Amino acid sequence: MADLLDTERLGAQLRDLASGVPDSGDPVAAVLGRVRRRRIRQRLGASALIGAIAASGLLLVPYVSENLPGHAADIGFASGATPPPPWSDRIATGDDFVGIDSPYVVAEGTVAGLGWTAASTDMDIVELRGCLVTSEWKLFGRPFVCYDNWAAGRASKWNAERANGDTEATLVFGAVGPEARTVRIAIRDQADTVVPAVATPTSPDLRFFATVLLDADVHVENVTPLDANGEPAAPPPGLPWEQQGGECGKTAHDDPGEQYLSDCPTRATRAATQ
Amino acid sequence: MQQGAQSYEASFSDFVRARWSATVRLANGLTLDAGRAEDLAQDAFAKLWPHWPRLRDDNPAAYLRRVVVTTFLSSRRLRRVSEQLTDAPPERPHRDGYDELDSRDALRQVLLRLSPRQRAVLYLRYAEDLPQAQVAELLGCSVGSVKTHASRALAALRLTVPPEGSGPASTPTHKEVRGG
Repeated sequence: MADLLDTERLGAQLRDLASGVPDSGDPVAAVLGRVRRRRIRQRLGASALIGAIAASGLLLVPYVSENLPGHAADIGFASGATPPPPWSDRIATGDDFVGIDSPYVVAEGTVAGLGWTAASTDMDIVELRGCLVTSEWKLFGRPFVCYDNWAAGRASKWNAERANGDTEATLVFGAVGPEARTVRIAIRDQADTVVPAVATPTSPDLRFFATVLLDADVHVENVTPLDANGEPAAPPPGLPWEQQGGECGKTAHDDPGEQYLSDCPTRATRAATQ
Repeated sequence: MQQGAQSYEASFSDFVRARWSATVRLANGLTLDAGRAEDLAQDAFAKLWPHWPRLRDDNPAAYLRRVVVTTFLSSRRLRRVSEQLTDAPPERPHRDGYDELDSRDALRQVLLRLSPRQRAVLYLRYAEDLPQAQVAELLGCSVGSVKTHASRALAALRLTVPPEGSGPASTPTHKEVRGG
């Protein structure tokens, strides 16, 4: 009892000690200023790194954009082996990716005159792995989803997000296992769409995909990863499994008016379709 | 500015305003320095910014607390603050146990002599009243380590004020040494 009282009093004393910070007004300007300084510092750091590499005489082999996806760069994966194509180790650039750890380009394109890029990344600050972030704010609100938590046996996790406003477009993106080479997106009343399943240095256990379908009324029925032979690919083997469900049909934000066009198929449906 | 960007910045700004006081308080409890506390709080919020779309619907306050703690501990490492065992106990600000430490400055002096992890455990466990498991998660260590840190921190506090009539304590305690 004495110890309990002691620690209770200690807690009160610690709180009292910590509360002695004078009010310095609205903190937002200072925090956003810090954000800007971090961006500048990271840009300068990247420039200095490139300069140092150039000065050292090393040959920089540029990533060829039209190769995305398809060409394996000669760099080691976590295990030391480069996975089969599609493979991308190109770092996404631009303000939207400043401050994000190693965003590797998964897909990119233009819709309604606006360029968009989807990139894989990890969130080391909170230990989330296998995330996919897109650059585009206006149309899709820059979704940012992490795929490190899967139900056992699930072959894909994906999201579909309709563009804001009058733009006739739907962003479909997600992750599949490492054996996949392509992803078949089945759309109600339309022909299937097949997109590359891109490996990146982000994760040896996942491949990522993203595409924009030029239709606002898309209803994605299911997403099937396909292996090199065009057969349904195995689920990712090495991720922590969750007991129930996933996050299909949900993205990381809930702006008013945002609409999710699809939900994950039920297990029974998926079993029937895959 | 684009509508999405406005929404992003507006919601982030609301979060900063809502969590600022609590975050600075936590930072101050860890650093014991009001100036550094504001700096640490700003840094933690700025680190969340690029991840805001992912975090804002997923208990961002919990992530923020984690970033504050990890940034505090890593910045201590960057500043080459190390721990050194000493034979001499810390100063004795009081005579009757840490429950008698009614002077803020005296308590502060004792806390400054704890290792950063011990201080973090002490603050999170007793000031924020977090369960041991949650403290362990925040610090990225086991519950057993939390218990050990807490036990040693409390012992160090008690050591500063041995019971009446007892001799000087000789158990080594932690002393911080700043490097260049």
